[in-house]
Amino acid sequence: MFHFIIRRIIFAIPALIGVSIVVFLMLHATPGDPAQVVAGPEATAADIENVRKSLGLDRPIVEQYLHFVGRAVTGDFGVSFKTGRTVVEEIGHRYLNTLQLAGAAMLFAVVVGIVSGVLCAAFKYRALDNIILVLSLIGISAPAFFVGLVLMIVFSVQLGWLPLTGNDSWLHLILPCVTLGLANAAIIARVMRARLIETLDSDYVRTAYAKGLSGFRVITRHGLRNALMPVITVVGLQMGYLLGGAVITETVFSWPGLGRLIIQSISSRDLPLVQASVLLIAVTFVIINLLTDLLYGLVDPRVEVA
Amino acid sequence: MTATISRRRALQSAGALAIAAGIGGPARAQASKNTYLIYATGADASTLDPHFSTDLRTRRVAMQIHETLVARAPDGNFAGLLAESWETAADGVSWTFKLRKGIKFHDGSNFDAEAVRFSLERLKDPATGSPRRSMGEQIAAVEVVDPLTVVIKTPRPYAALLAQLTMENLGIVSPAAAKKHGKDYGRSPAGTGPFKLAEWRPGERIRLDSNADYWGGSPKIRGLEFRVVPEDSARILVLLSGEAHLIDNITPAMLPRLEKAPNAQLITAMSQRTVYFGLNTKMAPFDNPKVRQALAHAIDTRALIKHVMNGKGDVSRSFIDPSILGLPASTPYEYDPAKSKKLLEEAGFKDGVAFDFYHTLGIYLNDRAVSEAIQAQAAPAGFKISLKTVDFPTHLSMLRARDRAAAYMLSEGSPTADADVSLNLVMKTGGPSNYGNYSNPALDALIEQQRTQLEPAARNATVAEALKTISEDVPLIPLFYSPQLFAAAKTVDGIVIKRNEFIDFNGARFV
Repeated sequence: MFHFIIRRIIFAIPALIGVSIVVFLMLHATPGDPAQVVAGPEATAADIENVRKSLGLDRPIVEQYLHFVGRAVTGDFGVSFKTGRTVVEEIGHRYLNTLQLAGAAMLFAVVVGIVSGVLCAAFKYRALDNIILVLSLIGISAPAFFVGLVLMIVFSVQLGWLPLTGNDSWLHLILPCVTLGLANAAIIARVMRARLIETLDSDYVRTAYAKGLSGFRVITRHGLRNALMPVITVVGLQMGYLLGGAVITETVFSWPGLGRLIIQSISSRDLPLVQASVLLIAVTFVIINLLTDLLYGLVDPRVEVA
Repeated sequence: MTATISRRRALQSAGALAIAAGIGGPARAQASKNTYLIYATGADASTLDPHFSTDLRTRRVAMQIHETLVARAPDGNFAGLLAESWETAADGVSWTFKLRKGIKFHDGSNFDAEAVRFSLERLKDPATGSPRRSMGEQIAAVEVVDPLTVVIKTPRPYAALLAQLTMENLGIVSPAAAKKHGKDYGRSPAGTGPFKLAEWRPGERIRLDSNADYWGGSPKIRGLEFRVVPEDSARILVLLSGEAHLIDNITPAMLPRLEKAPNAQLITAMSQRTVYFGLNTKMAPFDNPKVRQALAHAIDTRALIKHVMNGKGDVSRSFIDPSILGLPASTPYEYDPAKSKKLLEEAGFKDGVAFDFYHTLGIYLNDRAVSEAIQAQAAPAGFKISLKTVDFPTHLSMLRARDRAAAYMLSEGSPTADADVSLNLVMKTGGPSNYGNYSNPALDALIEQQRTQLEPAARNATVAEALKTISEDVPLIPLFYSPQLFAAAKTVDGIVIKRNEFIDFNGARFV
């Protein structure tokens, strides 16, 4: 297993270099001049040239890239064009905020998704199954900004139970976490249901019933464990997207996360911030994929992780 | 049976409870002297260093902490802030300022003439790297006479010096703090203003504490919090839920809803910001003045205000808001498609003319709706307008190329409430924001002339003539003077939204 992890990490390096080159080229190919944005619409040509020089944008593009890589390997990702703070400082706490939100949303999605999926399978084709199926369809279809605003109106403006914005306490986490996790909960419920129904039809389950086990034990001990593999796949895939794609939820709830920072940085052409954030997300994807593969081995001993 | 009834009853009472909570809900913002006044706004400041400020959000925070030598009184006249009085020498280039005494910066050091010299020279020093160095161009030298007297010299007589000194870029910083923090001064600012920095969580909030030692009297609130709430609808919800006391950038479509809200009040102010339809005078078809005049007659700016802007905003023919002291008012070009069509025919476009209009999206109030309305208004006269939109950095770089966009939306603010800045930026030949390549030697001469006229009446006459020339030549079409739309909780008053887009919280209090 150790070799497996090392090999995966080594394979990730060319991928990350590729990502950094692609991001760098895309940012430089994008129309719009960072120096003009920093200097503002009313700047003189001389103001803009001053800014360009102080940002190092007057140097050849290859030199800029090598300079970036040279510093990046030492953990120095430069300074934000807009605020003058170091990129590590800008991204650090926002990344933690996003991890917290995505983690909580995934936990919510897994718990709600698995419980509803199991309930559906246990009561298949009956009223409860149909109700959950319809709810899950709504969960998948409703866009995050809509769900977010509805939750805000009900739980904050009308009921006054939960705060609307910020991240000072765990209470602040509830609404964004539900908003972000809802669609995933619905996907997990559907995958869980389909796979569990299939599993419950298999011979060994019939055998388990035949030897006199209760329905509850059959589902938890024999059905659930076997049906869990596709759920892990979905969780692994979705987790990556949650980390990079929580933009809308973060914007609606004013959650100071990485997704919102990336969007802002793109629209202000804050190149160092965009580069470092995208690299960070790429690294996160690699790690999550690795963890998912390791988890397969834990849940299903038949999978050899070597 | 009984079980069913009791369950239903339980549900009903839960519903009633929810409604009751909804009505009584927003009493949570318990307001007192010990409360921070929370202002929810769309984006964070980028720095608190006034010499590096280039945008409105930065300006609004930085100027709670810092002050300038002079400011505009509500009537538009100059009032001393850090300067008590001033006089101009007979040579017209030396301005002597007497400073207020006994003022301390937030870091405890004393405010004096040396601090003024240090601040203005810091802005001008290339080593500082300010993106707004050009704001100090008209200051040739700053001389300390004694601790409370400073002389500012201009290269030539410069009529707009006082107006220029109201800009945040010429704000006064503590020399001790600026030397200590260097490039990081923007995160550890020390000014003389009514509020001082307490905490800054980037992208989340900036908390300012009231300065109990403020020379103008301590503010009546504990402090101010600028909270970042990027989403327009979410900003309205934080006001309605009582989580914030002041919100900005309300879209006109939301105004009727807020007017009906029991716990909210609208605060609107004009801004002296002109949103305009820019025309590239070196690109076809707008190199022909007749086509420009035809287009001016094809846009109904009054209808834009009435129908698209919900009645908010002002309109006239003048490039610069006539509310600026001493400027003449003028009526907008009449909406007259027949006349417009005739002018177009005279210009040789019998079958009408087609062009692309680059408008902004989410930068100016209702920019998209305004552009669509113009497209429809101008069609009967024969203008076939294709609406194009790119993100703002791309928009700016297209304009700066000066040969890629024939027609574009842009705005020009007058943060100094003086015509000099805008005329030089946008209208003078080769001006930094003269994206329409407009060049009129007669106008350039007027712009130069008004700069050196220290006598206000004579200067105003020159500016009025310059604005008249612009109106007749139509290098751009003013669409409206943008309103500033805010809403506040009914529990606060005393917030003053100023015309230069600053916000004055000195008198703010909870009621």
